[in-house]
Amino acid sequence: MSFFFALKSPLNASDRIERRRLIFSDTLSMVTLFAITALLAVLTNYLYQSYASHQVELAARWLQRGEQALRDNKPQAAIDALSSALAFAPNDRSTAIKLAEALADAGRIQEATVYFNALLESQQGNGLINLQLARLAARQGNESQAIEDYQKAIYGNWEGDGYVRRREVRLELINYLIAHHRLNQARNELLVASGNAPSDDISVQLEIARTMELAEDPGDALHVYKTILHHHPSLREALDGAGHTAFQLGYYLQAKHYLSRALELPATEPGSDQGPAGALRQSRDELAEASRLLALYPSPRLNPRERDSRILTARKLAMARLAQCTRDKATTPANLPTATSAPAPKSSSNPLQSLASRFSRQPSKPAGDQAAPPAAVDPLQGLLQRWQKLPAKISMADLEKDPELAQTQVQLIYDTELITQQVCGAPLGDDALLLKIAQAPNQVEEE
Amino acid sequence: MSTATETPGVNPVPGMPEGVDPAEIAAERRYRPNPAEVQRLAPNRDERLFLVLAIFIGVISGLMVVCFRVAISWIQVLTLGSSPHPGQLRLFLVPMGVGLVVAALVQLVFPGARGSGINQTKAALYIYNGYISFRMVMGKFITAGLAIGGGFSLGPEDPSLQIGAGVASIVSRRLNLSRERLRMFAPIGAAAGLAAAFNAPISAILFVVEEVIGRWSAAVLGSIVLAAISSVVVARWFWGPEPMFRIPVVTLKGPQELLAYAVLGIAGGVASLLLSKALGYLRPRLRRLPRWTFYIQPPIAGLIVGAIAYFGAPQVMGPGYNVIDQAMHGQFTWKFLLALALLKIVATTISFSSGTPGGMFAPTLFIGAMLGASIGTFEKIFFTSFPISVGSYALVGMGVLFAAFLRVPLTSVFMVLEVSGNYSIVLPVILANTIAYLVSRSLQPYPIFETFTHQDGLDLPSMEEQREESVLHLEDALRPVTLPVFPGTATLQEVSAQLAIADAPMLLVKLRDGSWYAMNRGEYTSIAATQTPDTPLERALKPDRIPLLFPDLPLDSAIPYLARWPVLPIQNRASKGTLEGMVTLEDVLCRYQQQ
Repeated sequence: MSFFFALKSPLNASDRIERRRLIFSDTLSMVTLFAITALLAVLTNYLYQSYASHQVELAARWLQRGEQALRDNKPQAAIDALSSALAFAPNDRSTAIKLAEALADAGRIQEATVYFNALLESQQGNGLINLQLARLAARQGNESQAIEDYQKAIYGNWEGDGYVRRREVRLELINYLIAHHRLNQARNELLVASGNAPSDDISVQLEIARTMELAEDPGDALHVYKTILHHHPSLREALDGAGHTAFQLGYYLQAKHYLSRALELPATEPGSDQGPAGALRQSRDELAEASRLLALYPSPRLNPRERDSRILTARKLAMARLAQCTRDKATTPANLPTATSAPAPKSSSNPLQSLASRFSRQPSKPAGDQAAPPAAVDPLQGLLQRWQKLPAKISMADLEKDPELAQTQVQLIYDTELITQQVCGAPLGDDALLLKIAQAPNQVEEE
Repeated sequence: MSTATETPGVNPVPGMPEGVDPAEIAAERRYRPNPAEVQRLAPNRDERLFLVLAIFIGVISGLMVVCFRVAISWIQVLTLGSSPHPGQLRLFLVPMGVGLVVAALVQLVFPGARGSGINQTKAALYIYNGYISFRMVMGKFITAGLAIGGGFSLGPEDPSLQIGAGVASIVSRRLNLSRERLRMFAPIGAAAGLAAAFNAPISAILFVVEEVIGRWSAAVLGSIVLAAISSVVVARWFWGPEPMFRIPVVTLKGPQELLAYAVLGIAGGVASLLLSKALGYLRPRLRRLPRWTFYIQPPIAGLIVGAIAYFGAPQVMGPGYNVIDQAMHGQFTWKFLLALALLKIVATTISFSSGTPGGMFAPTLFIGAMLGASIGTFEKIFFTSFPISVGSYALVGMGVLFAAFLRVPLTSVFMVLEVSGNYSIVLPVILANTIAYLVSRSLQPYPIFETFTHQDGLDLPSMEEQREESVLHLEDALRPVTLPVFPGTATLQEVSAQLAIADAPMLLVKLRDGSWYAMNRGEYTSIAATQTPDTPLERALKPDRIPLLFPDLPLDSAIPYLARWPVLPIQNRASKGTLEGMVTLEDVLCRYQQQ
């Protein structure tokens, strides 16, 4: 305590005694004060610790109730319980996240968003919070915000198995993009997901391939299915998927191959769960269709006789289709004056002739219209003219003798199917199969 | 504190705080030396002890406030339950029961515990030489803890301030310090208590300066800062360093948003007026009722608050910090927020006017936050072009009501910044607070604590008036030098010749070292009579000289010298010896009379 007093002072003896008493008194006071402070600190600490432990207990109790309410799908009760839990443990992030989830479940999207944003402030880059914000933005219909938050979630921080969570979030984003018809973005994300997916994780590969199908990317989906089949040649889901996607792409030979293998698998084959009846029926239908299509297809690989036979069959189908389409077109309201002024004759034995006769009776058009190319004015007329240039009757011998004629005939068949589909709508039956061949004839037998 | 503070005219010993036995004070001093004697034995002792004690006071106040807050929380959980919701019968009954207990304690055991604690602390400072009894501190601790924990719409900050001041008073009395020092310990403890309660040292210091001391005083500021920081360190040891409220990041999107904050400022000013008027109306009327009603006023207030809680708004109970937090995070609709603000005004007015111990800070913050969040939510819904963050509006609303209701504009700005830990919002806070403060001032001439003071029959200094009082300077009373000025080397003969011509009543002498001397005719005549005519003037003068005085010094700084000198030359600070003018006692008095 000498610190508080000057070292030298002009005091007499009694003053010095008094000063010593003062020093002693002050020292005693300070020691007492210190002791009281220490005692108070201990008491305060005890009181605080007991309260803090009680708070922890209460927080745990309310959290448990809140979680139970969430499981019971009682969001309002969950909100009440979790709010109470949070009041006792305000810094508990997981409780706050659960409360925000409960708010979202209760439809209180804005509050939940604010909550998550507040949480994000203290945990910038948290993957889970960004994911929740993305889901809330998606629920609010804020597409750009949702996508941005999904991206942040993908590249955010995740506790534990972050790799898996990031992939799950990316797939969720892809599904969101598909649902909102942002297919290009979805395909890009799918390519990243496919590149990052482990090759030995079949379920992930399958999910990516299926999602690619949903994103209208059957080419990449087929590639993924083939990769799977390379390792697991008898996996029914992969065979089915490959068959479907090959069918969509017009690879009918491949489609038949995969689908027939899939349908041949016994029910007990691992991974050969027969699946829903609808899917099975679809596989069977596609297989049947692919088989029939391949039977119609005048493949260059066939021997000439078989090929010419198929060309003639296709010719009949195409001519009938053209005749039907021409009749349909003539009876539509847009062509009503023509149709009423010159009703179509009854179908003759040669549809091509009847068609020609009908077109010849059509009234003459203005000079301006006549100057235009016929195909541009009416694609059917141009088609008809091309048919008229060919011989009225063609035999297998003709085709065998003149491969160029065979090629011209095949091309005209395809063009007929394509043009009639544009003018008269999608055909049915074998015409539909011919149309599919016509759309990509070179892919039919691609392996 | 004293009955004089709360119930004028019933204090048994005039000038002595109620509940304090004069023998208690005598006993405290019985074995202690006289402060004057102590000062003689150890001249620097008080000054050095002052700083050390400030730290002790800060630490002890911090511990006491932590205990106080924990006690409130314990009582809250034990009485109202851990998750109060509308329809719980205990919400209806507990505040009434607690009110009964508190009323009995206040009337029978702790009569000085009524009120918030701010005015009591000011009374201790200005009337009782900083004296706050141990019984009063304990009484405030127990009764305010019970009331706030039991659901009364009151806050713990003002009682914490008084508890801190009481701790300071108790500690300083034990060390036999001078009266002046003892008096200054009250604001030191007050700052410590408030800082620990708010977890905001700067705001606490500013509040004590703005509302308790009234002006900046270098003598005490250092100790206040030490005590406030010590107490906050203690409080943070327990509560942690996080700010009281979790505020979302606020970014001002454009100047048009300031317009929205200005609207909030106006609304806050009006809301503070409503609260002030309600308190100003109800409180004196309840206090004028017969004394026996003091036993039933708190229970009835508790019943009303309990009814509000039972029928749908338990948020109004207690300080409501968690509700403020929820409002900041947009968890309520704007209509409910507005309803909460209005219900809180009702609940707080009734709780406080009933004489239940507890503070006004937390309710003020609550009302402001609800009002701000309500306006923010409304604007967000109906003015979609405004990029509004409800949290920032709630935060600014808190500051707005604080500035308008308590009339502490500077504290309100720093309080918002400190309790949120968010400095990005400073511009809206300053704008809205200033508007609210001006609106409040124009509509309500007296600040609320001054109103309470008048209601209690006391005449404590108005801090708002003191803050705004214009201080007169010497330049305000300055007049041109019209007296003859002589150099010190002039002989008496020369001076006499010129004085005969000038006929001046006084004269000024400029000495070679730049100092000045002034004398009247009588002094000169006596000098001239005793000296030879060729004596230089400077040799004939008395040894003292006029002190250096400059135009920017306070006017009252001249008064002590005017007893000795008939006129004071006022010099230029840049050019020693050059006169700016002069003042006489008459000039000074005239200037004061003109003010």
